[in-house]
Amino acid sequence: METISGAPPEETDATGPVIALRGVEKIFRTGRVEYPALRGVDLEVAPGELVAVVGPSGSGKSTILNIITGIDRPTRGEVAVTGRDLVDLSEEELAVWRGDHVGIVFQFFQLLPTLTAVENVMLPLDFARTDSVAERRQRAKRRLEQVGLGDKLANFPAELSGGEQQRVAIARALACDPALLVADEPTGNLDTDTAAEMFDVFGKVNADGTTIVYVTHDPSLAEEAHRVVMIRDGRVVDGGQP
Amino acid sequence: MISAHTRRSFRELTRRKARSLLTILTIAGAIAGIWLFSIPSNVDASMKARADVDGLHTIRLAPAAPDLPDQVLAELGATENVAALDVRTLGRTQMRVDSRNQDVVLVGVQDFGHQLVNIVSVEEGALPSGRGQLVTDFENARTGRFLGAVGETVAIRSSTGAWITFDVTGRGGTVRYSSEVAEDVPFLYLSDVDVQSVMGYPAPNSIDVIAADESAGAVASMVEELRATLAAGVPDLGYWDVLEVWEEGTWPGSEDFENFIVLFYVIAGIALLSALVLIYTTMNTIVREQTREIGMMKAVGGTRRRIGLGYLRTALLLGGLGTALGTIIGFPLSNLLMAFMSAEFGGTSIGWQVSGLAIVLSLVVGLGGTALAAWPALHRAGRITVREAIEDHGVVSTYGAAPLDKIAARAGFLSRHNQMGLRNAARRAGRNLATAIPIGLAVGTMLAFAAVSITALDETRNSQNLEGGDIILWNNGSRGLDADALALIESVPEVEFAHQMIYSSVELGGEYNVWGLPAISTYDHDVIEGRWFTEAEANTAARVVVFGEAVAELSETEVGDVVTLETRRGPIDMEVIGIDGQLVNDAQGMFTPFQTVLDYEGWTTGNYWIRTVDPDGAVVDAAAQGIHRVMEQNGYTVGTSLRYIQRNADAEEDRLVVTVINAMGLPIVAIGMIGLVNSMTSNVLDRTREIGILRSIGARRRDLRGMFRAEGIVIALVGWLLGIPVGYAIGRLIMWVLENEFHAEFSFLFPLWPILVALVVTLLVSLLVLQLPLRRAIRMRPGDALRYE
Repeated sequence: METISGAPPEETDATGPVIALRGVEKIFRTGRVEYPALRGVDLEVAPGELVAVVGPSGSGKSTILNIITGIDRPTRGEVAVTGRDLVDLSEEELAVWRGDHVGIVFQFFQLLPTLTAVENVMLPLDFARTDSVAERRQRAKRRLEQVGLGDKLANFPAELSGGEQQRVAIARALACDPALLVADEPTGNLDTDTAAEMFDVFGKVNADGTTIVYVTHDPSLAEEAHRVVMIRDGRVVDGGQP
Repeated sequence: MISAHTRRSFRELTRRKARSLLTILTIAGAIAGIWLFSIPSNVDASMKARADVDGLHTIRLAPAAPDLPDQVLAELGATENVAALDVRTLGRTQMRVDSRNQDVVLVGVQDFGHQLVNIVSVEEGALPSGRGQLVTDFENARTGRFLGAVGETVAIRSSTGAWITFDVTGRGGTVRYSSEVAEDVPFLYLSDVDVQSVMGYPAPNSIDVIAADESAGAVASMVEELRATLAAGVPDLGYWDVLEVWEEGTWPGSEDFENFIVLFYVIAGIALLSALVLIYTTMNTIVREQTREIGMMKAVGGTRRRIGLGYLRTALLLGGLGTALGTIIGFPLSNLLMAFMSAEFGGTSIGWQVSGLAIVLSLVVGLGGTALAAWPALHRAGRITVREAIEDHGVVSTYGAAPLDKIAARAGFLSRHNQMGLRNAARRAGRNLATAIPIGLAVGTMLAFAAVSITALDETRNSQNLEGGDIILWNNGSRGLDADALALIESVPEVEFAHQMIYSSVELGGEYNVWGLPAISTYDHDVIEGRWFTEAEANTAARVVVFGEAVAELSETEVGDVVTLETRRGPIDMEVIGIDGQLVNDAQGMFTPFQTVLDYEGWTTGNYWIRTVDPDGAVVDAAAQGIHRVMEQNGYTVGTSLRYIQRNADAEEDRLVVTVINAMGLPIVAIGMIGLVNSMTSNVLDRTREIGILRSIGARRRDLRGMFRAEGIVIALVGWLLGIPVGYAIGRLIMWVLENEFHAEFSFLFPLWPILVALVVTLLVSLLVLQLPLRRAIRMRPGDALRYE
């Protein structure tokens, strides 16, 4: 079986941390109500780490992932990921940067229902406009074969099981060979066996050098990580440094 | 206190403000369309009221007599069933407009201060108080035929050829004659002494009567008695025109108007259908979006009925607001159209009207229709289970199984963006089809109207061309246009060809125009049954006639039948030898040899149709001047009608009518476009989370734009495609109705170019209306998009 590998992007500072959050605060405003989701988070993740982020509901776990991926912007603080200061990037630049450097796995798989498995995996390559369309298809096909879905290339998401959908989501996240893979409750909707299979894939990807940060509620899955970051009330209470 | 459940129904309106607004606008469009229903009855009522005020005659006798003694008039007035009687002197001559001679009809009134029938009143200025004064019909200026204002002078040509000047003292008219201005020539009202003097007539030539009992039998007996009195009291009595009757409930122009109103019903019906489809779509979207909330309400004890009622309240609120707005738009719109219609068909202006029918229909459709259109969605809402609702994440669908999904997935030749657009359109096939239907109806309506307009313009142009000749030469003097005149006419260098012809009219269960023609004439007949008359028949004044298609149908006559026609000199028998398929005179004309008309009318001469060497206006003008000169030098007094002026006036009139028809289609187009905006906004809102995901995996703005544009274009294209057969069907339907009204067949034209124009317009408008929701979507931050509920 071909290994899942990805050459580190040029901008990545191989010697520095992949993720560096300093004093990050995030306040959500809904009408007249303000909700502080993060209250000064300091977090560093070194290249090649496998980090689990745990904490009770509403503690700010998903918000940290959104800040790391540039999906949300901090209200205050510094965010440097893969060597780029995300605060300075526009939404458009962030989209391009994510396509090049970050793979995201969502809790509910979030595959596009109108695209087949292989097309879903091709999509980030289409956005990044790398290679020819035929080559993109080949790369996407390889990714799906690597996650054991070589025979389900033409299936639409509705024709796949939950575990299979999540594997497509991982293949999609890895399509552009990102330096960083971020997963928000990746096994939240999977049974125990399928979740374990998922972590096998994560393990292989991490072994190939991809830094992985994932959020989980499951203590047994948190144990799979090199390091566990504990969040409570919008603060990192443990494991913030490598 | 309002219950939380009721409060929720209200808040649904403000929750998605844009969509609520669009839905309200959709309903408003339908309601505005419904107000069009009020136009026919309001115009009819107003015109009848106007006819009452103006004292429109029930019948008119057109005597041509050396004198109409007062004693005879008194006897006529005392005839049983005569409620009012008045006499007029009518004459057709020419007036000077700018530097051109223009045909004009003069209406001579005996006493402006004491009018009983066809009462002339003024809107501006004053009625003539003596000789040398006149009132110009207000339609003269509106139709652009004569713009003369109060205080100006008008030169009118007398039977001696002299030009006599009159002062314009007022602007006004009476419904009987005002209604003819748009179709014919300017009308001027002056004292009957002046008209008799100008025309050289010895006596009044129009006896206008209002009957007390307007039933057909009573009117017929009255006419018989009136004719008998005239015959007994007036020596050398003849009639220059057949009996004119306005049946009870009709008014000048009512027949044309009835032909036209079918369009109103088509428009209003389509507007209504479009709106109902859109309301259905909107309510479906609202319910689908709130699947989880419905589940939650059920989980906390909400029954199907209670939940359904909550959404019904929302639908009724939308319906109520849409009805109010539609009324605000529809009321002035319908009144403006009413004003146009009454001026166009009845030659009169009517005040603003409130229609009780429109109000009731608006409420029924606005509230009832909305509730009805929302029903399927409400029914669905009630059937959603708690489990279904809780498991609904709004993302994973069953896409891929349906045949349409499979077809869309095969379009591998498209770019990824276009593929996604196409597949997303297929993914929500039901809803997108519901959006495409109003677009299709809008496109179809415009195509149908374009086709009907093009057909009508084409038929008008054809019939104008068929009439042949560029100049009609009339006799205005004592020396008729005899055969000797031909050589003089043809001596004018600009004249190519001329022949005699004569206009007449007869009755055969209705009044019909008769053209007396030579066997070979400039009229390009199209005999669809039987034959045209021969040279021999023309020379011997044979009693043969070719019927227009509509005359044949209306009188149930076939080729070979001998019919009895009522002429002004009594009945004559004619053999119907053919049926003409041309649409001249709306196919309601008859064609018979020139000599035959002279024979039954007792005339010795007629008019000439003249074809010039070039139909260009300058050449025709030069020819007319040359003809006038040469004819007058030889003792003839003539008048000319220039076809190009009439053609231009007709074309202008047609353009105006076509513009109004097309403008009436605008509510439907507006509904279609609102539907597209509504659908695209819903699509974008629906897929906000998906947009967030796409942004998260590297999609740029142009990627998102490309996808949604492709989807919008697919919907618009489907709408356009639906619009083509819909347009053809609606066009055919309108033509079928018109053919039945006119009793004639039209060559329906459905050209390609409006279809292509519709394609371009549909795509452009679709891309335009897509901008707003798309802008919002691509500006949304991925985090906000992912959290979007």
